[in-house]
Amino acid sequence: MKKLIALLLTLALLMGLAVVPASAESKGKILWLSNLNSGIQYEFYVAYWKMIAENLGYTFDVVYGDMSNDPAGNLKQVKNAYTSDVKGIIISMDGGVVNIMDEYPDMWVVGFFSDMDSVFEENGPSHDVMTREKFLGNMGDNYISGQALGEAYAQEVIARGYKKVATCIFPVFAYPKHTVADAAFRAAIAAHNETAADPIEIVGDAEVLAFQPLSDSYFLEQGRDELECIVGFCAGTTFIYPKMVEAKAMGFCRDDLQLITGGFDNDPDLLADCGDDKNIVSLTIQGIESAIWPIAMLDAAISGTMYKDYPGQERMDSSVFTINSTEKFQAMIDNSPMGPTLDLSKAQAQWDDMKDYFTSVNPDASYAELTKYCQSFTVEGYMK
Amino acid sequence: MTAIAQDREKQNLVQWIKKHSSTVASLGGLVFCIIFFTIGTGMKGESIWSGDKLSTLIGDVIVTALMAVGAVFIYSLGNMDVSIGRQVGLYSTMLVLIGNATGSLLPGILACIVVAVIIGIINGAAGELLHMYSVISSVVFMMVISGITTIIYSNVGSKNIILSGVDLSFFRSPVNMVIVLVIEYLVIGYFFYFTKYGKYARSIGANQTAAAQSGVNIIKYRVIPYIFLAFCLVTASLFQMGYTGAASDATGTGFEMNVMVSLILGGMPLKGGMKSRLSCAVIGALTFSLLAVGLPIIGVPTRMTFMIKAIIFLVVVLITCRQKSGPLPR
Repeated sequence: MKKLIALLLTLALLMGLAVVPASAESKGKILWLSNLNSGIQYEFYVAYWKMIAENLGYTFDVVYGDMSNDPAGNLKQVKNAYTSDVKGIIISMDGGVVNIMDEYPDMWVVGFFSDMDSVFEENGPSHDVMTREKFLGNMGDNYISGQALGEAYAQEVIARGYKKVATCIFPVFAYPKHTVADAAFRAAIAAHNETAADPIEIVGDAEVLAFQPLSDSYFLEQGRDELECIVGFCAGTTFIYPKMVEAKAMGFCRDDLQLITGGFDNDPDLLADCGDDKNIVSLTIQGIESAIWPIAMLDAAISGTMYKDYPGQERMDSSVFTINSTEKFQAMIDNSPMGPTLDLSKAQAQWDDMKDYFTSVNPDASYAELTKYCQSFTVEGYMK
Repeated sequence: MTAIAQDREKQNLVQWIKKHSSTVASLGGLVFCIIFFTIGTGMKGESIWSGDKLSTLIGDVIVTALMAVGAVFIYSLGNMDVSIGRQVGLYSTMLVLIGNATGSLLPGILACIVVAVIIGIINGAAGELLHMYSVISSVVFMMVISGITTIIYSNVGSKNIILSGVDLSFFRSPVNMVIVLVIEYLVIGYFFYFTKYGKYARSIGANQTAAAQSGVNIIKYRVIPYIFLAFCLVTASLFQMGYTGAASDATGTGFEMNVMVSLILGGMPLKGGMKSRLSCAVIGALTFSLLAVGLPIIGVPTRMTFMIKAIIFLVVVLITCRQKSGPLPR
C-alpha cells in the first residue's frame, strides 16, 4: 500500500511538472525577496507587482526570505531562485543586502516595505550599499523614522483622551526603530503633560516582547489593570491583541482597554473588533499603492532610462494609512483591495493612472513626481 | 543458462533490491534528480551544471552536508541532536566576535572547539548517566544556547554582526568547499567504518543491551560520536559564517531539521544500527539542494517548490520506512 501511494504521488508530481507553463518572451524577471508568505498584504503585493510587471513586459516571482532574516539564509534563498533572466530585485528583508549585491553585482536592487531602514544608516550593517550604483534606495514600511512613528502614536493617544497608557516594543537589537519610537512617544506625552490640566500617565517602561505574545501575567502587575490603552510599536494584532482579549474576558483589565498598533489583517473576526468603540482603535500600515515606487525604479534602471532628476539613493517614508475610525475601517473592508477577498480593481492606482510615472512608458517622467505620487496615498482615498 | 538458474538469478536480484530498497530509493532519487534537472534546465536554455549554478549548488549543500556527515554518527546510535542549529549559530557568533577582537580566526576556532567538545561530552553522557533519552539533553542545550545568543546580541545591540579585517575568501571558494567536504567525509568515514568507534556506535544503535554484554563501554562509545560531531559543527560554522562574513541571532535556526531531512532523503535508518551509512548524509544533502536550485530554473514558482519537496520527502519516507513501531530516534 505504501509503495502504491508513493508511486501515485510520484506520478502526480511528474504530471504537475510537465505542465509548468513555458515562460513567455520578456524583458527579464523581477524578484521580490519577501518578508511575508501569507496574508492579505502579501497577496496584494504579489498580485499588484505581477500586474505592473506584465504591463511593462517583465516576469515576476517571489523569493521567500529566511524566516529568521539571517543574512546567509536570505542570500541562499536568492541564489536558489536566481536565473539568468533576473534583472532586478525588490528587497523587503534587511539581512544580507550587502552579500546579495556582492554575489550579483549586475542585478538592480531596491528596498521596500522593510521596518529596518536603520540598516542603511551610517553605522548600519548595510550602509555600504548606499554608495553602490545598483542600489536604488529604500522606501520603508510607513515611517522610516522611529521618531515620526512615536510622535504620531502620541498624537493619537492625546486626541483620544486616554489618561493611563503603556507601550510594547520588540527588542532593541532586532528593532532599534521601536526603541526610538518609544522614546519619542514618551517625550511627546511629557511635552503634552507640561500644559495639560489632566496629564497622561505612561505606566512603567516599555514591555519588551521577545517575539512572544504578551505574557499572561502582564495585567497582574501594578497599575496595568487600570490601563486605558496599550500602544504597540510591535505587531500588536499578533502579539498583544489576543492576550488583551483574554485578559478582558478574565476581568484582569478594564473593559474599555483599547489598542493602538500597526499591521493589517482581513480576518473577519479581527476586523469586526476594529473601530472607535472596539478593542483595536487604530492601525498604522504602509500605504499599499506605494508599491509602484520600487518597480518603477527597477524599470527605469533596467531599461536604461533612469529619471533625469534622480538624485541617487534615497531613504524615504512610504504612504501611511492611519486607520483610526470606524468609517476608515469600514472603508478598508468595503472599498480597498484588502477587503474580505483581494480585489485589485479597488486599488487607488490602476495601470492607466500610474503608467505615465514609468520612464519606459513616458520618457519625460520625473523621479520627484513619482516619489510624491507614491507617498500621496491615504486611507481617505478609499472613502471618496 | 538453464531456466532454473535464470529464475534463481532473478529471485536474487529481487532479494537484493528488497534488502537495499532504501539505498536504491535514495540513490535512485539523486540520480533521477540529476537526469531530470540536466534535461529540464537544458530545455529552458540554462544548465544546472553551469559554473554559476554549480557554485550555488555547492554553496547550498556545503553547510548541511558538513553537519550531516557528523550527525550520521549520532543517528547511528539511534540518537538525535536537536541543538545542532543553535550550536552552529553560537559558533558563528563566537567566530565573528573573537575574530573582530583578535584579527584572526584561529583563537575563535580553538574556543569553538573547546565549547563544542564540552557540549558534546555532556550531550553524549547525560542520556546514559541520567537514564533519559539523549534528545532531552540536546533540547536543554538548544534552549540554553538560544538564551546565550539572545543575551550576546542584546549586549551587542544589533541583530547582525560582521567580521572585518579577516580574509574569508577561502570559505567562499566552491573548490575549497568540495575539498573540505571530501576530507571530512574521508576522516569521519575512516572512523565510522574502519575503527571500533564506528562499529560500536552502530552496534549500540542496533542493540544496546547486546553491545553492553559484549563488553562495549556504553558511556564512552556514546560520547565519542558527539565529539566527532563537535568538530564537524565547528567546520560547518566556519563555512556558514565565512560565506557572508556575518552572523546573526538567527544563524543556524532550523538547521537540525535540514540535517534530519537530508539524512532521511539519503536513506538513513532513523533507528540507527548496523545499516547506517555515511553516504546518506551527502546523497540526501545533494538531493535536497538539487531540488532547491533546480526547480526555479525549470520555471516552478517558488511557492510550489515547498510542496514538491514535501511530496518527494513523503515518497522517500514511504519507500524506506520499514519499521512498524518506534521509527524515531531518541
